[in-house]
Order: sequence, then structure tokens, then C-alpha cells
Amino acid sequence: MNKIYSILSAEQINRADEFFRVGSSYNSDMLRRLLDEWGVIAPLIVSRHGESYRIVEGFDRFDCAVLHGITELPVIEVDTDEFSCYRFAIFNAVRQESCDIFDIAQALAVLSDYFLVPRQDIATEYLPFFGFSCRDKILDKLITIHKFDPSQKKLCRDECIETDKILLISDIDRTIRNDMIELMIELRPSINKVKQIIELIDEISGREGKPPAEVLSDPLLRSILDDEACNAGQKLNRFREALYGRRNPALSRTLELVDRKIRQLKLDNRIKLIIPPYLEGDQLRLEAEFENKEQLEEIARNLLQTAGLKSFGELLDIIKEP
Amino acid sequence: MTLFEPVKILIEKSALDLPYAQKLLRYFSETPVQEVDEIQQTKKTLHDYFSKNVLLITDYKGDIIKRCPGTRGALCCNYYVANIINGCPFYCTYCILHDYINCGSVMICANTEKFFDELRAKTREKFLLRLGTGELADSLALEPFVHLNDELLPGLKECKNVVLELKTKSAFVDSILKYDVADKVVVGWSVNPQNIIDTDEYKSASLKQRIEAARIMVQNGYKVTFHFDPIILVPDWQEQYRAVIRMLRDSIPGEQVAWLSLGGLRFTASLRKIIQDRFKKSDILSYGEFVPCPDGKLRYFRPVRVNMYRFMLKEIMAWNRSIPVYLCMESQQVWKQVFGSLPLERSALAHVYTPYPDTDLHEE
Ligand code: SF4
Repeated sequence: MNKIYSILSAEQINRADEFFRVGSSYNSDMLRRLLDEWGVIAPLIVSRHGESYRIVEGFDRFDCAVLHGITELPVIEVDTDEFSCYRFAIFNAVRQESCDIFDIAQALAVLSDYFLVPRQDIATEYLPFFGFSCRDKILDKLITIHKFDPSQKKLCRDECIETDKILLISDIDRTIRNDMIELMIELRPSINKVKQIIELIDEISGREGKPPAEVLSDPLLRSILDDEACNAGQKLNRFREALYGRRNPALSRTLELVDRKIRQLKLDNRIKLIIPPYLEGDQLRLEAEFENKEQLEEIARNLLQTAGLKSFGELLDIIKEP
Repeated sequence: MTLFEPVKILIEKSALDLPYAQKLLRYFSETPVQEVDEIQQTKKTLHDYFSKNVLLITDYKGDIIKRCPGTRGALCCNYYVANIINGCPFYCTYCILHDYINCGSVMICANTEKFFDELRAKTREKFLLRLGTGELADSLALEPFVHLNDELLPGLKECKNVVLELKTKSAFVDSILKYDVADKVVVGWSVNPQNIIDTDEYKSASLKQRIEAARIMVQNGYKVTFHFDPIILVPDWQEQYRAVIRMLRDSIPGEQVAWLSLGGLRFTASLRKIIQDRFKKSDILSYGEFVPCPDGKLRYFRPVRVNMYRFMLKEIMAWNRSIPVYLCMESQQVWKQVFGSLPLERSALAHVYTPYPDTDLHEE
């Protein structure tokens, strides 16, 4: 490949052509300060395109330089094909860590749609390079992410939504993507909670034969989100509970009933009655805390009394045959 | 495209001279072959993209026959499994193989002599060893391609106190009929309503084809088994499963059913994720309410399961009261709720649940 070092006037460079731009701008404040002190030292990398030049690397330097009134810039003109330039731009962006997930998705789309790189090569060669495992599924997700609305991309970027969460919402129904982004911004759920919410919506939708958007428009869910008396954490818990209850009506009802029966026993607060998780099993367990003989006797009396209660019998019946 | 068309064969060097390996190489004479030192090592390096449709032929060094691992908290039915084939060309959404054998290839143990040595060492006078090849595979799905029955059935004729169950979702029974092994072999079918077969058991035989194959076996003097496993609580599951049982009743005399099992849909958390990711069109996770059980698997909430088993049992009893029905991987508690007693207290099942004299305590 031929490389020519030269000085070009800013006008010879077609700044508007961002074909080789991969990744976002980096800290231009710092760049500005550097330019103040040093001027433009590192040459831009450009390639000839018709009568003018395209930037392959150095968009931010170019912008800062022009802002500083610099009219001539050092460049390295590379004489190679578009594909090599694009690959260079990708490697450079990864090196500078200036790519977010939308940039990566965009780059993969260019590789696939413009350069016609086969899907398998993209998965095996490029995905690991961007830090992903080379799996079909990830590639599909990234392709979808590339198709997010610009407003969705902007919101995710502005609100610094984490990459893992964006990957998660990539394959949900398009009609609820905005709602999920808002929910992630407002309630800040952890990745596992986002996963759980998505699963629940999906399952309710499949079960009730309703589109996911209709599930999310449930007035109960809306009222939880609009409840000004609750903070984000409280809203998130209530929101999940409401979805879980709707997804698992029999289970929620039974567990609630068991809870109520246990409360009715009014057990000494040093005694803990442990029921088999999710009623899988018929053995109850007791934990008791005591320091001396008298306390133990008191606990024993309380237990004897409990054993005679009607609600205790009812509790045992529920556990035996929920 | 045929059901199984390997693009490559990897064969362990030590397997090259095994007679069955030689035959396999002939069956797939058009397929490129690569010799490797150790399949298990190679398997680890197989990558998603390149491993699908690879046939691995091994001279398996570990135990081929093992006691069925069962599951924590469930009653054990003393079943033994022979994992001669690992992998399956069918593609059931709920298949645990997605989770176990993650490379998507098919592996065949070509040292069938070892299988017979182990079998002879395990069988005992007066005890019937129930053995199956369908734990990590469908027992018959690959039969037209790998002809395993030709390796196993003639030798099996000579073995005493054993019954081999070939569990399948296919209709490939012709190769069994070549041999006179009705006293040694039962063929078992997993059955589900055709709706579920369409959406969740890709590439497998239709319900009608399975029942017809069972009818042919019965006609030839064989006993058959059926497995309603996994039962999936789709919205009108009762009507759908009732219809399946009626179809069975119309074709198969109950007396010819050696045993019948019931098992609700169950899956590990990792399999759940695989289903969600790979089978977006499948609804099986949406129906019923799942809870984590002591063995770490998710199952339908107990009352729902009990209700489901009671319904199935009632319908099966209406077909024939003498069919030995058991629950697969269920707790004592569920057994008692469904049957009112434990299997050892039920004469039809006592012989199955009586612990097999332990030939292999060292395995545990
Ligand atoms: S037939 Fe059995 S082994 Fe094959 S994919 Fe289906 S469940 Fe898995």
C-alpha cells in the first residue's frame, strides 16, 4: 500500500463524508487543549475520493483544528481500497475504545450490506474483535440494534443504558421497546430484573394471547409507574410483583394464603416456621431462638397452643393439597 | 434434505479397526473423514458454526451402561441407560440435549463389544434389567443411517434377564422386525398431541405415524411403551391429550403396553434460556405456572401437576386398567396425591421399583 505524507488545506478534505467514521467523538475538550499547546501534530489519515479527500481517521482532530482556525493539516494519504480503509477505521475505533454498541452494530451492518462480508466471517472474525462471543444469536441482536429508531438510540446513549441491557431489549417486541427504555431510565432495574420483566411480559402475552403492548398498558401497571408517593425502587418491586401475580395467579394466590395463615398463628417472634419453598415438599421446619430453660418452655407452650389452632390445621391442609 | 447428512466424520484413531466403525465409514462413504487422537478433547474445541452435522465415532473408554441418574427428591425406577449414541437429528424445543450436548454433533460409541461385556456383568438372575438407549438420543431416529440395531439385537438375543427399551419419536421400526427379539425388546414412543408435535417436536414423526409403527410392533408380538412426557399444559390440553389416549386405545390393546409413563414439562434454568433464545415461536413456557424444585429444575406448580396427572391417569384407566402407569421424576408426595400410594405398594409397579441388586455401587 502506498502512503504519502503531505500537507492538505482543510478545504481539500470533504468533512461531510463520514463513510469511514466508526465510533463516536472522544473528549474534544482535551483535544482542544492539546491543539492549543501543540497544534496538529499527528497526521490525519485520508484517502482520495474523486476530486477531494475522505477522512479515514482523525475526524475529531479535523473539527478541532478548523475551530482553531487552522487551515492546513498534516495527512497521510493511503492508496488502498475502501474495504481496507474501513477495516482500518474499525480497528482504530476499537483501539481508541470509542465504539458503543450502536456504533458496533452500524459497523457490522456496513460490513454485511455494503462490503457483502459473509455472515459467518462477521461472526467469527469481527464479533470477537468487538468483545463479543462469535455466536449467531449475538449477531442477530446487533443487526436488530442497528435498526432501532434514532430517537431510541439517542435516549439509550444520553441515559447511558448499559450494553447488556440494550442487547436484552433488542429482541423484544418492537411495540414495547420504547416503554422498556423508559422503564430502564426511570426505575433503573438491574440486568436480572430487566430480564425477568421481559420474560414475564412475554409469557403473559403468550398465555393471554394479547400483544405485549397491551400487557404493558394494564392500568394497574400504569398506576404503579405514575404513583408519586413511591420511589424508583418501590415502584420497581411493585411493578414486578404485579406482573408476577398476573403470570402466576394460582401460585401467587396460594403463597399469599399460606402467608396469611402463618400470620394468623401469631407465633412467638423467636419462632420461625419455614414452609417448603413453593410448596414442593410436605415437611415444615421450625427454628427457635432461646437462651435458657424458661424461654424454651415458653416456646414449647406457644407451639403446643399453635398446634391446636384451627388455622394451623388449615395451613397443613394447604401444604398437603394446595 | 435428509434427516441426517453429516458434513464431516471425526473418528478416534483407536476406533479405526472396530468392526462397527468400519461399517459406519462405509455407510457414510461420501463424507470426508478426519482421524483424531481423542474425541472428547476434540469435542471441546468444536465450535457452533462448524460442529453441526459432524459425526463423531469413538472407542468409548468410560462406562457405556449406567444407572439412570434420576433426580434429587424423585422416586427412582431402577432404569439403566446405555449411551451408545449421543445426539439427535430431531429438534424438540424442550430437549435437554440442547443443554447437555452443546456442540450439536452426533457421537456414536463404536465399541459395541464393550456394551455387551458391561451388560453381562450387570444382569442378575431373577431380576429384569430395564435398559434404554434413549437418554442422550432418540433410540431409533438415526437407525436408517447408522443401523445400530444390526449391531445390538443379534447379541441381545443371547442375553438373559434384560429388556431393552428403544424409545423414539420416529417410526423407524423395520430394522427391529428383522430379528426375533420380542422377548428382549420393547419399543417406546413419546407421544404428544399433533399440535404440540407441530410446534415443538420438529422433524419427528407425526402422531399417526408413531401410533401406526406401534401397531405394527404389537402385530408382530412385541410389547410397546408410551411416554406422555413432557405433558405440556397448552390451553385446551385436556381435550388434546384425551384425543391422543383415544387414538392409542383405538389401535393398541392395553395388554400389550409394557408400561406407560407420565411426566410434566420440566427444564433447567439454562434450558429455559435456550428455549427463549432459539425457539421464539414456541409458547411452551407461557402456559402453566413454573416453580423451582429441589433438583433445580422448574416444574408446573404442584397442584397443577397433580391435577394434570390425575386427569391423565383417569383417561388411561378408561383405556385399560391393567396398564402399569408411573410418574417420571416425581416426588413421593406427588405419587401419593395422584395414586394414593407409593409405587412399591402398587402391585403392577412393585417389580419396577424394587431396587435392582446393586451391581455397580462403585458407580455412584
Ligand atoms: S427426540 Fe428426544 S433426544 Fe431427540 S430432540 Fe426430541 S427430546 Fe431430544
